[in-house]
Amino acid sequence: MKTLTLATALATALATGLSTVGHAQTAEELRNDSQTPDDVLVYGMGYDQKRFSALDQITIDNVAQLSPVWAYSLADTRGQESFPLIKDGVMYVTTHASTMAIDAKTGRQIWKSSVEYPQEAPRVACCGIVNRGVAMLDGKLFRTTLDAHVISIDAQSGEELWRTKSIDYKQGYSFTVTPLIADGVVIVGISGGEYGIRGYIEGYDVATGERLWRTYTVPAPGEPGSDTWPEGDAWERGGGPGWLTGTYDPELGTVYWGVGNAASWNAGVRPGDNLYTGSVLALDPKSGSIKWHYQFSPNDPFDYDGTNELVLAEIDGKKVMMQANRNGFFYVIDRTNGELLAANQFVDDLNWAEKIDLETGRPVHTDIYTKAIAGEPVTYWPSAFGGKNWAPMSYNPDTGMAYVNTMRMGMNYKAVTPKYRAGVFYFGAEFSWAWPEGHRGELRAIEPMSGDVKWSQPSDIPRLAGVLTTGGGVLFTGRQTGEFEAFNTDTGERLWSFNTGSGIIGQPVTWQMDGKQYISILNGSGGVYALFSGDERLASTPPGGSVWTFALPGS
Amino acid sequence: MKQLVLALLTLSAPLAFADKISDPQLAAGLEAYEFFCAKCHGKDMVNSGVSSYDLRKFPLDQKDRFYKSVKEGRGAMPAWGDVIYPEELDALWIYVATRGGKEPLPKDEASAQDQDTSYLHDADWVDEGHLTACLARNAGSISGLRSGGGVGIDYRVSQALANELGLTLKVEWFEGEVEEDSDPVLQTYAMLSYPLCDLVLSHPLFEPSIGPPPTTAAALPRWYGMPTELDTVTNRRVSKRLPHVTLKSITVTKPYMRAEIGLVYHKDTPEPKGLHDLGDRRLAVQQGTLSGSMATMTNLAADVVTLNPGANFLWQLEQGRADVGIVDVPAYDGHRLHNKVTKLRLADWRHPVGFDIGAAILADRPALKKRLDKVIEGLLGSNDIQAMAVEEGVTYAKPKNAGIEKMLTMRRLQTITQ
Repeated sequence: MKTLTLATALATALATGLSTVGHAQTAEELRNDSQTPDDVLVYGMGYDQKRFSALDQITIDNVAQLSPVWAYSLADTRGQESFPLIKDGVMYVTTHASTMAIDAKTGRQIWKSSVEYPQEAPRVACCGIVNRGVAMLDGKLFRTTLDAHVISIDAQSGEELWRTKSIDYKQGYSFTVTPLIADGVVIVGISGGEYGIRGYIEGYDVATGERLWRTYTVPAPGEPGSDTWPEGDAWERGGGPGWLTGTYDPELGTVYWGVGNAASWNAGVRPGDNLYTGSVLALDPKSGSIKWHYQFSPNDPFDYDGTNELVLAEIDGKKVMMQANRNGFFYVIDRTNGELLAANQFVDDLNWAEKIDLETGRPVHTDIYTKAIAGEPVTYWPSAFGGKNWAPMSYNPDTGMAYVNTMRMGMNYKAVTPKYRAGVFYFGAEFSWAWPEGHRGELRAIEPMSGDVKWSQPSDIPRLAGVLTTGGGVLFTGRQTGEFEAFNTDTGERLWSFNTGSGIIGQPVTWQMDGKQYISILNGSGGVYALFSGDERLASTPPGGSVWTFALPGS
Repeated sequence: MKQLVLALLTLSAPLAFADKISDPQLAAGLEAYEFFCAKCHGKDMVNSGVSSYDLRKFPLDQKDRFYKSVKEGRGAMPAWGDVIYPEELDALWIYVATRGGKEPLPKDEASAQDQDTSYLHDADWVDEGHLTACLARNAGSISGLRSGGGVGIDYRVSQALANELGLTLKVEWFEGEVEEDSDPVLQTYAMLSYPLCDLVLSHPLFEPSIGPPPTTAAALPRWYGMPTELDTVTNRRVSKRLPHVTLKSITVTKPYMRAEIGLVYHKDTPEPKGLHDLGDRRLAVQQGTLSGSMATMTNLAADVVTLNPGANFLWQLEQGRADVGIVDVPAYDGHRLHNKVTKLRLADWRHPVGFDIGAAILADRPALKKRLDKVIEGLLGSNDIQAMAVEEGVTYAKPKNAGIEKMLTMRRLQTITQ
């Protein structure tokens, strides 16, 4: 018996050793992801999530010739938001229900493993049954599940290596986030801001799946920040999810993670700033301890999550972090200490605050905010969708501009007494959309420090896809009506589009293989706007996801 | 001031009704729709049909399909069977079947509807052929309601009891999370006296918790499927306010397990052999609980920190607020159930104070008690309950069977503890 165990252990060790040869992919490689165009190893195309690639084979002059190379059916009708990773000619993508490895050259499936979850789980996902992709380290993939598990998968075989339950999903908790690997720790943030959860960010051991730490985004009584909550139990259902992947500065040893809205939306019943909802947390990846925080939206009644991507860059010699917040302001923050450097309005219609005071870092509220808090009916702009929703922007270091899919909608709103039942919506507000005349979204080129808009490309139905810019001067994004589009980064001119057959709310990536530049995107209608807007114009764009890969013709 | 507010509400109520829905069931249906369905199926059932089924097209002759889809889920539709109350589902069907109140109910539905008052609770029933158990809806490894039925040791024991008696088990799931001003023992008295069920599980063989009622009347807890009524002020369907139940005497069966108090510690640290074996480790106790008082009255050299009671207690331990915690064993089981990777371990040591646990029943049902006692003895003898405990993740302790525990005085506690 003993011999047998030893033999098994040896065999396992050998197999692991072998797989490491093919898929070796170290922490060092993760750090250098944005400098290695042959692969895409980190969510957002690098720890800084600039979504910029220096690749310049596809240019503004030849992009019109871009053609599909292959398409791969995801066999799924939910919204597709997965960020593809590419390593050694293999692409890894997810849906809510499966993980797949695809031959990046041919689009042939290498393996597919399904993710089972209970039939009850989708009800705790507020805004679309989605998954945003895998993280990768040392031949292992890491992903989250709708029923609040974190799992690790062997990149070569698709076999599950470990599975850890984070929490009971029935209490309103779920995962859609792509994990972040920082300092050897798998970091994830929970979803559920609309279900009266107590939000948190967690770190897991890469090898064993053991939870190493959990940092609550809402302090318990007596903990730092608890004085920003009223006495009583509001904090237990205080919200503060962390549903989008953070960024990581290895030099500073700091992870930046956005924290979502406070719950319920009725802010009048939770007087105080309600830390750390609507904030960014600077975390130590090994321990999860909070180094500093900055709060975008104190005592927020409007569902202004602070979860949007926190892009890292250098501006005027300063190490900064920037975010186009749901609340309509574009923030630039010194990432070494949390000091606010700039906060400019980036959408035209915004009425809840006059400005962000750079001295105090706090919004200067208008009477719209005051009335909303007092329970009076108001129409506020931008809506709960935000001036920008989750769809990630690109920061292009060549142009110094951020490229952002913005939204243009208001919300008729009245705070009411929230009604709590575990795992069911916990809004504390009655609301309907206030539609503008004409277009509901704009792709905008925004100068981060001034907020100046260099160009703008409107669309009737807002774009909810990620943005990618390249060294070839080309910007890629997509529409909910299915068109994958290319723009001139400098002028905003639309250069090319291709109808992929289902709405695009995914994240474009680019990489190079055998000397050729490729662009990939997932399509598949769904997500928050399709779900909540009731926009019947989307009825003519059917769901059904695929991975599409494009390149220039010829070798 | 309060009266003024009430007057204003009363005045505005008819106005609100005028442009809303006058039929109470339709109003309840709308409320259920907005609470459960609107986020995917759209306000007023309007959506693009891309992400969700267009309910405006639901075939009206397929009521069964509607109920099944809501309860069990179907394709992209999640299952709601364990959170939606039956009367909410009935009202929801009315809302959908009338296209949001725009059309009359299908004919045969309308006549059936007139007679359907069955959701109103008839206080006289105790079903023939059924053994009805009251179980807490969300009590970790003890009992819990799931779509397929139930889980937890108490659910399994109830099932075994019913089987052995040749009865079909019926469960009334009550809200186990006690509100501040309610008392679980009084709730047990109320549930049995109402009667909501034949037995309430997890009842201690403890003198102050059985016998003649401590007060004449008490409120029932909320339970799954309790009757609702229309609140005429808010036009919302709410749990029906039931009068306080006149309490009767209760007794308790032979015990089927024992509830104990133990120490949890971090897995990389030495296992504590007892309260006197803590050295300079920090001990966490839960404020206002028996275990807390017992720990603090043991003369400890250790550093003691008092934390709020509840599920969060173990989480704080997990995060290192203290090195060791004193807690009732089922609470640890529940924590472990929800946190597979917990760093906390349960020491083998048990506090000498513990309670044998049986099922509470009305004192005037001696025949039932006799039969239940016999079955429990049999189940214990064949180690069936132990096996169930293992399957349900419960750290099981056999009852001591030392009869009814006397009232605990501080003095007595001290004697036992030392």
